[in-house]
Amino acid sequence: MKKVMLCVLLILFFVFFNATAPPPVAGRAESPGFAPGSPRLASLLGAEGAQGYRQALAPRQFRFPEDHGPHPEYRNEWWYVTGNLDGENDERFGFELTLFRFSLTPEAAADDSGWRSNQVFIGHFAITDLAANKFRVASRYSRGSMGLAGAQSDPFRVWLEDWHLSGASVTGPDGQVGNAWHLRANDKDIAIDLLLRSRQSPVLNGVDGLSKKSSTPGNASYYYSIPRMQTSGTLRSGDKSYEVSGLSWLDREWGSGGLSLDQQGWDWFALQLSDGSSLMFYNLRKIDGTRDEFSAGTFIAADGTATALSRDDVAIDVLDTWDSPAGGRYPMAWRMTIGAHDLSLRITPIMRGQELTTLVRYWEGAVDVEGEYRDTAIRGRGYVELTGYAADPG
Amino acid sequence: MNANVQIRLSHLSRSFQEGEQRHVVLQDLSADFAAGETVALRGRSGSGKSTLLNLISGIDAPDSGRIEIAGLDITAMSERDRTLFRRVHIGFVYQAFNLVPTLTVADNIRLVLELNNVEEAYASLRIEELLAAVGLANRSASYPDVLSGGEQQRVAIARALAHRPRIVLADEPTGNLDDSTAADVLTLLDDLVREQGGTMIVATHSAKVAAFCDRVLELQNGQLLADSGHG
Amino acid sequence: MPVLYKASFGYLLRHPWQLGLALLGICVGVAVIVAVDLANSSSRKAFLLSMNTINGEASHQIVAGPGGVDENLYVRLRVEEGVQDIAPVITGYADVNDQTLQVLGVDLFAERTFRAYTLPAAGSSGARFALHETTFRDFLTKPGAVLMSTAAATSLGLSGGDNFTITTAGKDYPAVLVGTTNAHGSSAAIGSLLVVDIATAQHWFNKVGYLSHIDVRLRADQDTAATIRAALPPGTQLLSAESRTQSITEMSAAFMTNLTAMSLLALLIGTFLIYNSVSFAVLQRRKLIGVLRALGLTRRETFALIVAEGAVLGLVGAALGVVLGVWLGEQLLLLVSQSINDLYFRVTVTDVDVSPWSLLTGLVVGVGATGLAAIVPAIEAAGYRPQLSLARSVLEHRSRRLLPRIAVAGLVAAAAALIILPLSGTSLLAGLTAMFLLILGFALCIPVIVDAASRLSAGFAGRLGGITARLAVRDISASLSRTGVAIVALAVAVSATVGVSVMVDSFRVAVSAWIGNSLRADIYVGVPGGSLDLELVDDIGHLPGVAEISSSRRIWLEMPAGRTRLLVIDRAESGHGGTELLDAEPEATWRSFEEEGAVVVSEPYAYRNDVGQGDTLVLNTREGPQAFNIAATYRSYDANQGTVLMSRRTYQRHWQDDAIDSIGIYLAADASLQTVMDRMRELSQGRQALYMRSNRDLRDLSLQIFDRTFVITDVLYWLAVGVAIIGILGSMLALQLERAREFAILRAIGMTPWQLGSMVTLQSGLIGLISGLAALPLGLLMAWVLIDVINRRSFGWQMDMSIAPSFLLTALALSTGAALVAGLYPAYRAASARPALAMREE
Repeated sequence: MKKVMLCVLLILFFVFFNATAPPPVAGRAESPGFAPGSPRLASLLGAEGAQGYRQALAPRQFRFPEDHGPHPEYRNEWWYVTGNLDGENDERFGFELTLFRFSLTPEAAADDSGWRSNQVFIGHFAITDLAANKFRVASRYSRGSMGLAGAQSDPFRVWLEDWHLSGASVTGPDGQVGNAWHLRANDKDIAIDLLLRSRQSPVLNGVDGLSKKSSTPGNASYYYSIPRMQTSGTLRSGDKSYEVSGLSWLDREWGSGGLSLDQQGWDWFALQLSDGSSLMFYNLRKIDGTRDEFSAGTFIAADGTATALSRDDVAIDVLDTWDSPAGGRYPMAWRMTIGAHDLSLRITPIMRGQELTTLVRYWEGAVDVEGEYRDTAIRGRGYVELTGYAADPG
Repeated sequence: MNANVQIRLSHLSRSFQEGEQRHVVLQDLSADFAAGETVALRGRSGSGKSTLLNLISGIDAPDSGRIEIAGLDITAMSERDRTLFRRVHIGFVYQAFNLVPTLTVADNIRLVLELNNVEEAYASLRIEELLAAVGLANRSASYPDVLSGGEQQRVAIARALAHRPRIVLADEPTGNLDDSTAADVLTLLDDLVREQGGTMIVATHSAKVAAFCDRVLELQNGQLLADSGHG
Repeated sequence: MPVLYKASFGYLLRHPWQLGLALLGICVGVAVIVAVDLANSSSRKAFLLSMNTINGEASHQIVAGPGGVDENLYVRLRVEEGVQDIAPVITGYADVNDQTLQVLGVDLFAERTFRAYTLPAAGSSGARFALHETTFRDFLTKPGAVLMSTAAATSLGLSGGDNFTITTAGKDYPAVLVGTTNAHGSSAAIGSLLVVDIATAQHWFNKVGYLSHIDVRLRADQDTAATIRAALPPGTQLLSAESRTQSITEMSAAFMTNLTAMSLLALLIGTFLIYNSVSFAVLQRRKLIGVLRALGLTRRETFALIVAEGAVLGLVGAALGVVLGVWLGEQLLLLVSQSINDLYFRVTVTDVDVSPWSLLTGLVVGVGATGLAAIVPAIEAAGYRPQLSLARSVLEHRSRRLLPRIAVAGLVAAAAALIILPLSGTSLLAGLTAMFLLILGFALCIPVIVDAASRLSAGFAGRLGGITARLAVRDISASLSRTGVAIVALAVAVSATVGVSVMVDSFRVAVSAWIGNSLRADIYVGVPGGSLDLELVDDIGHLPGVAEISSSRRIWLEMPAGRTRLLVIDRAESGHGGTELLDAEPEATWRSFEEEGAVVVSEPYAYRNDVGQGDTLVLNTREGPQAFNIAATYRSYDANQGTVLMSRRTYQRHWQDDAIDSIGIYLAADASLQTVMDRMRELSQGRQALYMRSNRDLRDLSLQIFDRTFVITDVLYWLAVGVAIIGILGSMLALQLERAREFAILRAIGMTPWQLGSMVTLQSGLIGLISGLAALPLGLLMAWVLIDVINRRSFGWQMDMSIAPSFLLTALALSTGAALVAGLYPAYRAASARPALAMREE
C-alpha cells in the first residue's frame, strides 16, 4: 500500500510552501489539521479535488514494461523502493528512495516556455546505517519539465534532478535477460548506486491491481509490487563507501483518489521471508483507534502465487513502543499472525530512530522478522512505514 | 632693603614710537612704596602717570629697569605669570570704570572673584559686603549702563578691592565726579585699603585727592619728584 | 567660569541679528552637506537594497551575453552535475496601470535557498489551506500568474483573483493576481516587485530558452565553484553577485562625488561667514577683552574663550543645520534619484534614509569648520594688550600689514593647485582638491585687490559724488579687516554661480551640438525596456516614404573586471557623419568597422580605459573572450563608463543575437513625416506599441533630460548664493553697528539722515560690485577647472568653454543687488539712530 502516502505528498507540499510563513497567531489550536484523516485535508483530497482526472474505478489490464512508466492522466503516482543491504564485512544498511509524481491540474497549459508544467516531483531518500547508528534523510522537489524531473516508459526512467530509477536490461550469468533497474541517489552524506534484478513478474495487489482505500468510488489506486529484487551496488554513508548486496522491494501505485474522513494513519509492512515468500499488508487505522475494514495485503508464496489478505485475515499485536524525541509514540515491535497461512511473525526494527523528521514526520525503517511458517522456523527482513502517530513539525 | 618696601621701581624707562619720533615718557625712574602706604601721583596730562600705573600692574612692560613687588621681579616674569600675578595681587580702578556692560553689578565683581577661584558661597558674601560698603547694596542686579557715573565708579572700586589685592592702583578715580561724591569715593577707597593693609597709588590732578594720601609724588620729565607740599 | 562666559554670550545675545545670521550661515552650510549626503546615500542604499532583494542569498551569479544564459545550462548543472543551491532568474521591468514595476521570474522549487519572500503567503481568511493550495497550483500552472506584496496590490488597486494587463516592450499580456508574496519585514524594494513563474517571465520578456542569470549560493566547499566553472560554455561566466552590484553602483560614483563637492562649496562659503561673524564679535569687544585681560585673563584663557564661543555657535548652528538638512535632503532626493534614473540605473527611492552617520558628519564638519573659523579671531583677541590700548586705527593698520602676507599665502595655494593638476592624472579627488585650493588662493588675494582698488578710486569717487561718496569708498579700505571677509565670501559665492553656469552652459552647447549631429534620422522608433518585433521592423522598412532604416541595440557585457556598454548599430547611408571621429580618418575607419570587425569607442571609454585608435580591447563574446581592434574614438557625452560601438554584422557574428532595440527612419525626399508616422502606427496596431519620436522631439527630449540633470546643481548653487547673501547682510549690519559712534558724530556735525543712509547704501553697493568684479575671474577659473578637470575626470567628456556675456552681467547684478539688499537695513538703522544715544555708548 502507500495510497495514503498521497496524503504525505500533499502535506509535504503544504508544509514546504509554508515553511517560511509566519506561525498562526492563535497558536496550535487554530492551525489547520495536517494529520492524515483530518477533515480539512480530506476535503481537499475529496472527490472535488480529483475532478478532471481519470479515476481508478475498475480493474485494468496491466502491461509491462509500459506500466512502469508514468500515468499523468491520474493525479498522483509514485515509485517506491526500499531494501535491506549488507556490506562485505556484514555491515547492515537499509535504504528508501521514493519518487512522487503529482499533477497540479488535469491538463497542462500550452506555453512557449519549456518550463511550464503541471507536473511536480518530490523525492525522499533515506539510509539507515546500523553500525554507525545513523539514519540520514534527504529530499528534493522539482517541476516535471525541462528535463529537471520526469518519468517515461520507453526506455523506462523516472528521475528528479540527479536522482533516478531507470530500466536496464541485464544479462545474468546464466545468459537469461531479467528485469533490471538502475537506482541512483545522493546527497551530502549519503549516496546509493544500485542495480536491482527480479525474475518474478510484478504482483498485483487488491483485486487484480485495483486497491480500494474506502467505500467512496475512486478512492482507490492501481497498485503493484515487485517484492524481491536482487540488489547490488555501492552505498556511501558518511565518508565511507561500501560494496553492498541484498533484497529490495518496489511498490508502484497511481490514482486520483482522496481520503476517507475517519482515517488516522496506517502501518505498512513489506516483508521478505527466508523461504522465498513475501508479505505485504497495510493496516489502516481509524481515528477512533479501530482497524479500517479496507485494510488489506497480499501474501506471495515462494512460487510467486499471490493471495489477497483482508483485515480479518491478519491479527496484529503491538509488542513495544518508542517515544520519538520530537514527540509522538510509535509502535516498535509487532506480532503478526495469519491463521489461514499458518504464519506467525515477530517483527522488530533494526534501529528505533528511523523517523523522517523532515517536512512531515513519519517512520520508515528496516526491520528483522522471526517466526514460524507451518511449524518451521522462518526468518526474514523487510520495511515498515508508520504514519499518523506524530504531530507535524512546527 | 627695607623690609617694609612693597613696591620697588628701579631705573624704569619707557618710551613710545609715534610716527618717526620717539616719545620718552619715563626715564630712569626709581622709587619705593611701603606696605600700608597711600601715595598720590601727580603730574600734567601726558606726564606718564597712566603709563607708570600700567607698568606697575604688569599691563605694560618697561623698556628697561625692574619692578619688584613684595620682592618679586615682575619684569622678569613671562606674560602669563605676570597676568596671573596681576589677577591675584593687583586691583585697578580705571578712570573710565571699564565695567563689563553685559554683566550685572554683582557679576562684575563676581568675575574677579571667580578668576581668583574664590568659592561661590564666600564670593556672594563678599559681594554683598562690598556693595554694602560702597552703598550700592540695592543695585546688585542692575546693569552698569543704568547707573550714574558715581555709582559706576563705586562699582569699579568694589571690583578692584574684591579679591583683597596687596596693591590698589587708581587712575583718576574721581575724575568724573562732583566734589562731594569724590570725597565719599576717596574716603571709601582709603578706608578699604587701610583696612586690608595694602598699598595704594592714586594718579590724580586733584589737590583734594592728594590731601588724602600719606605721600605725594610729582611726575615730571619722566622722573618722580617728592612733592614739596608734603612730608 | 560661568560669569566670564556670561559676559561673552551676553554680548552675543545683545546683538541678536548678528548672532542669528552667524547661526543661519553655519546652519545652511551644514544643511546642504547633510542634505546632499542623505540624498546620495539614500539613493545608493535604495539601489543596493533592491539589488540585495533581487539577489537574495545568492553569493554568485552565472551570467552570459546579451541574450542571457542558456536555460539548458541550469538543467545540466542540476541533473548531470548534481549541483544544488542554484536558481534560475529572469528579471525585467513591466508597466501595470502606468506604474513601472520590477518583475522577478523564478522557479519556486529552487527559491527556498535564495528568496524566502517569493514564496506565497498564507491567506488570512479561514480557508487558509485551500487558498494556499490553489495559489501555489495557479502560480505554477497558469500563464500570467503573478504574486506581489500586499502593498503593491493595494497601490495597483488589485485584489486576489483579479485579471489585469501587463505591458513589456510595447506588448500587452494578460496577468492574474493569484496571491501575495511572503514579504515580512518587507522593504520598499519588495513592495514594487512582481514575482512570476519562470515560464511566464520567459514569455513576457521574449526570453524563451534563456535566463537572465542563474543565482548561485556557494558554500564553504570550493568544489561547487569548480564543478560549475567546468560546465560553463564559452561566453558564460560565474561572477560574484557583490561585485556585479558594485560595478553598477560605481557608475554613479563620479556623479555623487560631484554633488558632494558642490555641498562642500556651500560649507566653504558658510565657513567664511562664520569667520566673519566671529571676527566681528571679537573686534567689537576689543575693549571688553582688554578689560578682561587687565583683570587677569591670560592669553590662553582669552583664546579659549573665543574658540569656545565659536564652538558653541557652531554646535547650535550645526544642530539646526542637521535638522534643516534632513528636510532639504527629502527635497533633493527626488532630484538626485531622478538624475540617477536618467543617467545610470533604475532606482526607486521614496524615503530619505536618515543615517546617524550622515548627521554626525554634518555636525562634526559644522562644528569643526566653525572652530577653525574662530581660531584666527581668537588668536587676534589673545594678542590684545590688556586694557584698552588698541585703537581701531592700529588694528586696521595691523591687518593691512597682513594683507600682502595673506595674498602670498593665496598665491602659494593657487600655485599648489596648478602643480597638483598635471601631476594627479585622472584622480577626481585630486581635481576637486585643486579646485578648492584655487578658489581659496584666489579668495585670499581679493582683499589686496580691494584695498588697492578702493584707495585708487576714492579720489575719483569724491570728485564724482562728493564727501559722502568719498567717505563710502575710503571706508571700505579703511575697515578692510571687516569688509574684506564679507567681500571674499560674496565673491566666492558669486564666482561659484559664474563657474557653474559657464560650465553647464558650455556643456549644454556641446551636448546640443553633439545631439544635433548624432541624430540624423527623421524618426526614431523603439519600445520601452525591450526589443522590437523584427517582422514589424521589416514591414516598416517597406512602407512607402521610408528611404532607409538604421538600427541599434544596446547591451551590457559583463567581465570579471566590470561592465562594458556595447552599442550595436546598422548604419544607414544617410546617417554617415553622425558620429564625429576624433582621432582617425572616417572612410578607412568605417570600412574596417563594417568589414573587418573593428570597433569604435566613445571618448569617455577611451579616457577611462586609456585606449585609443590602434589599440585592442577584449570583449566576452558567445565563444568566449575575443579581441577587437579599435579603429577610432568618437565624441560622446554618455554618462557612464563609456560605450563601445560595433557594427551589427560583427555583433551577429560573435553573439548570434539579431534583436533590435530601436531604429532610425530616413524619409524619402518627398515623404511627409506625419504620414509615415501614421502609417507606422497603423502597421504596429495590435502587434507592438511603438514609441515614436521625430528627430526634433528626440532632440528636445534629450536636452530636457540634460537640463533635469542639472536642476540639482542649480539648487545647490542658489543655496550657496543664499549663504553668501546672509553673510553680506551680517557683515554690513555688524560694520554699521560698529560704526554707530562714528555715524553719531557725522550726524552731530550736520550730516542728514538721508545722507548717512545713502552713504551706507552706496558703500554696500560698492562692496557688492567689487565682490562681483572679483568673482568674474575666479568664476571663469572655476569654470575652466570644472570643464577641463572635473568633468573630464568624472565622465571623460571633453568640450570647449563657451562664455555667454549674460552670465557675467548676471553675476555682477546678482552680487551688487545682494549687497544692496543686505545694506538696506543697516542703512535704515544708521540713518535713524539718535546721535546722542549712540555717542554715549562708547
